[in-house]
Amino acid sequence: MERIVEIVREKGASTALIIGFFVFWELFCILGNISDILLPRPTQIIAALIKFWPAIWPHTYQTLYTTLVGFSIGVVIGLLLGVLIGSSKLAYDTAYPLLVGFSSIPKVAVVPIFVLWYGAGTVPAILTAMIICIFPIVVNVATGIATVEPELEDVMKTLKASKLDILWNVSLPRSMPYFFAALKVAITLAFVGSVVAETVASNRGIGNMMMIASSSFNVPLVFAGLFVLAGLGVTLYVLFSLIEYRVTGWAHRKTDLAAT
Amino acid sequence: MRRMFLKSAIAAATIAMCALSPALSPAFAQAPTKIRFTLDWRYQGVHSWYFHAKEKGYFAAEGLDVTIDQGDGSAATVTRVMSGTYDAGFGDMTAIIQQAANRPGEAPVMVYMIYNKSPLAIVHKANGPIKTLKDLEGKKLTSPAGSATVRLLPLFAKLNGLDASKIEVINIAPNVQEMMMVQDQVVGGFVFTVTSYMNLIGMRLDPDKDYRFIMYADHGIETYSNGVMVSQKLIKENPKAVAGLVRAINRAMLEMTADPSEAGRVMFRVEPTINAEIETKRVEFTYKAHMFTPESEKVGAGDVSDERMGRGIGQIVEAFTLPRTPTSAEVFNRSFLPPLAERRFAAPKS
Repeated sequence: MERIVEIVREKGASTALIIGFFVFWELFCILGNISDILLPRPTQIIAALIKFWPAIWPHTYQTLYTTLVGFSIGVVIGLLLGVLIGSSKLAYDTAYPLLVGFSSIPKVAVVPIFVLWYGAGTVPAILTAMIICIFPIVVNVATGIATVEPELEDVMKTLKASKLDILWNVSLPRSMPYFFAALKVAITLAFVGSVVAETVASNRGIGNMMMIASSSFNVPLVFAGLFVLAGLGVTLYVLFSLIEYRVTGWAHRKTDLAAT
Repeated sequence: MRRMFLKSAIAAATIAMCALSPALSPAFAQAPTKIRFTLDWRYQGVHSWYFHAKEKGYFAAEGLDVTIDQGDGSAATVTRVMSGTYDAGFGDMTAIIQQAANRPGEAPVMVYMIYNKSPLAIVHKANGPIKTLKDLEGKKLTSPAGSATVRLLPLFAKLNGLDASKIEVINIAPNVQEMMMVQDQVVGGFVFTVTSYMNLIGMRLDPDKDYRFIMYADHGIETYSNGVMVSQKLIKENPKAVAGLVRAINRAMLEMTADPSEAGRVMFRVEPTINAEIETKRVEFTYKAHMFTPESEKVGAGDVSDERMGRGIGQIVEAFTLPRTPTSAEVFNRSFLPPLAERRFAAPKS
């Protein structure tokens, strides 16, 4: 019983904040008599979302598809690079400056280049999503591996473990909490990447739909696009949090974990 | 073993198919030519003819398989075609002239002119402080950084006896230019009429009644604007495809300008979030303001006047201080146009 009350209190606060935010927004627009060209009311946005839903759905699917493909490729590359950089001092010193350089490039500037190479459409969106999410994964995985306690490695060495054994049995599991923290950041970044690419050059996708809508001043639809993106972002974030909890629960000091 | 089985099965199936369907074989013999076509911007009513030509099979009838992608500015069309990713596109003549001056032999060539009268203009309020051109001096106006309209301002000022240095230009993103003017933060902006007119309509204002456009074209600037361009490679390797492309677009464009409300519906079918009425208005405005002119009535849709083209190129070379002056044959090729009788505008249905 006590537990339930606690959960309600915990979730209640955040739910109230979310609802309160939208109510405030709605009232602010009505009382301030703000035109829907500048800031549509949440009810208008939801109306637009419902009205255009059959037309929005293919865009949503496209954005989700490019994001997930780009993200998956990014994760694989990021993980490999992270392991390489984290386990070798030489690789760390050599590759790090280049990596930082790449990640400092604003991704908006890269998209037109991808378009020149591959044409407008799915490929630039996937590539942008990919390059934007590589960096946080590499940095986190590398840090995770580089910070494994030397004692553990020494113990493994005395047991005649090869470098690969150590990596597989100690370093990789140890870096998992870092890896999952990076995944949560990377999935939201991947959305940013594919939407940025879509606003520049694509025939489909939420970003593209928002550009078309804003060019005909259909502002409620632009905001509906933002809502869809926020929804997708939150869903995937929650999904990865759950997986993280399952896989790396041991790393968190949680009382209820001990109870189960 | 398994792979070999698969291979032979596929081969057998292919042979069987060919034998069973002799009717299909002509289609195999002549695969349609693939054309990648880029627009100048996101889907708009003025793109309806390309989709209409595709929908009605005008491209297919010419043996073309055309993919149409959305664009990122009418100058970007030129770089996209130059990169070889696209074979053809809808884009800006000014940008072709600049590229042709800097990299002769690589720049795309315009084969069908659509915006006969340039959309470069200065927008201002009808009841604002600007009554004559001279009133522009000492005023604040907005412009997107480096836009063609503001690049040509010194030339425009020279032709009309103004002092360009007395006009204050504020750099700003194109989608807020009208907003700043409406709120009286500036007296006006350097714009493209097609975009600005529709922005004002989108803001539920009446651009015909309350706003005025000072068209550069009415004050001595002779440059041409957007049209259909193709890569030099396509002209060299497949002139038949270019002629087919031009013929199909010409037919579709004349049908769409004659029936603007269908143009709105075509775009709605392409992208259901589009407002068909607004796009219909866009086609009506563009037709009236930029496509149907005394000159295009005389030379026919798609063609240009060589004398005017020569003078227009001279103005661009001067305004952008280009290293050399391209000839009009370098930037425009009329040899793919259908006969004049097929290029007559019909009055739009209202």
